[in-house]
Amino acid sequence: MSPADERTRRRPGGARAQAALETALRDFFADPEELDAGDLGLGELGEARGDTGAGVLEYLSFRLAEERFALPIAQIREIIKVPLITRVPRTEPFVLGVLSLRGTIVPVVDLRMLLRQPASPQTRRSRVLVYMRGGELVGLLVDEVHHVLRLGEADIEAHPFGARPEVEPVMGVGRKDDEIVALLDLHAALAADRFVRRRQDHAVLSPEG
Amino acid sequence: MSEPGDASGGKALGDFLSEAQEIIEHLNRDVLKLDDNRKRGQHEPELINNIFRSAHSLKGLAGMFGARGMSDFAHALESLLDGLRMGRVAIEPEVLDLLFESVELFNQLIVEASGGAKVAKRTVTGLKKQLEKLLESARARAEDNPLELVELEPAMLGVLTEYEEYRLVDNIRRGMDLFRVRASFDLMSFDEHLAKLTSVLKTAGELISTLPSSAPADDQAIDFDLLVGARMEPAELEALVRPFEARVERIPRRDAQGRPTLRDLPAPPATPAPAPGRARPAAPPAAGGAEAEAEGEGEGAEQRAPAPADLAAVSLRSVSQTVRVDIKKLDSLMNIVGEMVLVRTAMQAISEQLKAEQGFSGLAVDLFKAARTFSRRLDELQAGIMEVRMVPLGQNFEKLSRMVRKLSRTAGKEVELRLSGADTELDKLIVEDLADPLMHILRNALDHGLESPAERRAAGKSETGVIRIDAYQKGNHVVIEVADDGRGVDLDRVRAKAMERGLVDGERAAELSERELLNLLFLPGFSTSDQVSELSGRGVGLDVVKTNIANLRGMIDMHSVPGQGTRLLLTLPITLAIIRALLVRTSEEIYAIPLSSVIEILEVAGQRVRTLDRREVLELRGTTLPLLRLQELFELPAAPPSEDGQTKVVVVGLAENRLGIVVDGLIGQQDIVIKALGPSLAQVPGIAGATNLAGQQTILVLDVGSLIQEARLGDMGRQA
Repeated sequence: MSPADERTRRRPGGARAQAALETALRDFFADPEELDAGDLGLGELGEARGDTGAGVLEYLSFRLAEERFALPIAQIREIIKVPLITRVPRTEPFVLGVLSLRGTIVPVVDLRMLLRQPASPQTRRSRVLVYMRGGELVGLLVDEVHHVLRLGEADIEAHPFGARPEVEPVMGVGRKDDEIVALLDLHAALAADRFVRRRQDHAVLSPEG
Repeated sequence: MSEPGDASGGKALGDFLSEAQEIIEHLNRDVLKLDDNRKRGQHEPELINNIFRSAHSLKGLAGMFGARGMSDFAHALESLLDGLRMGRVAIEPEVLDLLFESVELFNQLIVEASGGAKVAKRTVTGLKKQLEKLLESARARAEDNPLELVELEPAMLGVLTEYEEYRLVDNIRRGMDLFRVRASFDLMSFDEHLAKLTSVLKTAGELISTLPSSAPADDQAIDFDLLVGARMEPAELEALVRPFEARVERIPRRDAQGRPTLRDLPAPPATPAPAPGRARPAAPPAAGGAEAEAEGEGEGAEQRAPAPADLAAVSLRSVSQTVRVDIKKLDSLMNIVGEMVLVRTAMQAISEQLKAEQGFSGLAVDLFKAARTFSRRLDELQAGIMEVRMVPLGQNFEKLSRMVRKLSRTAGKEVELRLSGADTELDKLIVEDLADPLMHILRNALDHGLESPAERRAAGKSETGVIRIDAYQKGNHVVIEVADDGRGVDLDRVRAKAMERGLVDGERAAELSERELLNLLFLPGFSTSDQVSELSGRGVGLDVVKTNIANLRGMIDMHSVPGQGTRLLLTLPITLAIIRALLVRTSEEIYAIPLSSVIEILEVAGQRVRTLDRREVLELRGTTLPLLRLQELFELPAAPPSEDGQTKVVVVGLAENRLGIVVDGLIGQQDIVIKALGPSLAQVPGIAGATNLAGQQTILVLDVGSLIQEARLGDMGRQA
């Protein structure tokens, strides 16, 4: 048997064993309440979903304060109930801290604060969307997850006030069956260099400051 | 977080890249050694063969993966190396320069192949042309044929391989005497005797060729002609081979017809100067032989140039018994171990509880034993994975010597780089991330530290500056010292610069200690150099180095003596993956402090804390320990003062620096797996990462190095 054959033969076993171990660990530690995918039965959404062809894309709609927003579902990895979040000092106010998603440390952002919505306490319906920004996962705290919207090009209109992705992550408006959602593009707003607060003493020390 | 499996194309590319990288590393090492040998006047044929083989393998490998640019270039290099191997091209500085540039180019091509920066086509073709030109000019010079200078039968000359012929020519050029040793051995046991004779001859000089004799042999025997180049009298050689009943015949030189004698023969431009090491006139044969053996020359002659069939085998077979593994796979294994550590903690807790409820019997005992065995095996597993991650620092040293060689010429300075501790092992990731900071430091040393040869002479120093890099392990850390014997840091200039920048006022500037002044050099944009040079002096450098080292949870210290040199000390943890930590509580938060940097834990009465220059300090055994309150630094809500009025201080230290971290409470020790906070939060000052505790709780790990640096610089910040 050639080495290549052997490799292909062995790999699935290894992956299975790894998956089994992960499941075992998860069962051992996870509070089912915390890691449950929510009431929508979405579970882990995976990356491939979202494009249903013919220019129709799937969006996940959710609520922040009184407004509705949506993100392309392809950018959302999973939906979890709000777990314990560890505060991280010296970060911007919109950074809530970090959570551990099956061993991986994921920063969590208060999407309300990022989008300048009025603050309010978490509720039973609050969820964290695990969002993919490039290779990094970022948790987004939202007030409530609604459902999946399928929007074609005709259902989307550009931002009525013109898109300014750095200051205004709303890139357009989607309409479907009387529902109006603000479509978000968080790429610029969640750029990796925006999380850490600039240090005061550094500003004093550096000759530029 | 299971990543989707690599596409087979991605895996093939990865395999190609890692194998090519391995070959290039070999190539680099061998070229450096070649340079070294040349400087010491030594010659090691097998080394050139190795380099040739590397280029050949690389060509084959690149061809197989359709990397045309790389394969074409490797081909051009191979041709040049073949010329070197056959003595058509001499090992001269410009040839070595080209070889170094070629290695560099291969590295760039690898980066390009892995999706990195593109390499300009001009660069490749330019270097290729240079290689070809060199080979061409060497060919033109090779007219003169020294073989005509010796009376060697055409029959014998005709059967020599090209490589043997080159070795013969080389021996003639170096003025060696040539001998034909003819021995006759019994057919049944000739191999054994021949091997002994061969090894004896190698003690005398170089065995150029072993040929079955052209003279007729009787039925039961086989005759050999051994061609030897040595510098000794025929009688001496005869004495050596007497036990073998071999005959020695000196091959006469044709110096009777008015031709120059061998010893006066001017070395043609295509040959290196006669090697001093080889030109020992009358060294005792045994001692000389040992030296030749040590140089690897004996082996070289025996293995000879690989036949074409060998080369094909070389390019297809893997070189070593090692497996290259993506570090991410090790990370993921480490992650699993980390989760298992949590399982262990849980198991132990259950075992304890069972014991408490049912007494130490039956199942409780079984569980206790199982947990203990599990714990031990887990430790072994953990240690095993850690060991796999460890690589010697030496791989960085090779890159650095190449760079120093290049830079010293650009700067017009003579530099000797002395390295020690290449086998000091560190986590692979740390070794990788050390490459850039070390490069910056060396650049600084070369550019600012070392004086020009003229200045050095004036100062009564040797013209050749020395930069030393010494690496060694010290407890849980590895220390890397980089020292130069240059001019040292001009503290007055630093002071003037600090005032000019408005960092301190005149009064305060005068008070600054040497330590504080040197620390200023690590501030962003702070450079004492007035002119911007090609090497450094743009005010970037040391602050970048500091940041890089801090990211590795390391520490950097500087010492300098005017006129004598500058010494930088890098203190680094051996690994970042799994560590023992002290868990502390401040306000409602829990933080982990790497135990390797914890020196002691104090409980002191609150009134012992004093204020010095607006900073809290503690008098501790005659020294002043700066204090840092996590609660203030991290802007946490203040906790009520402890009932006993005691302040808990965790004294941490890295290198010679000490800092007292004031906490509200101590929780205990635990093994933790440090996890990165990810790109968004990686730069949070004072935080090294996070770790999971049992029960899904995540806590932050403090970055002791950066906290100490911050405490040291904080004073400076308030003055401004």
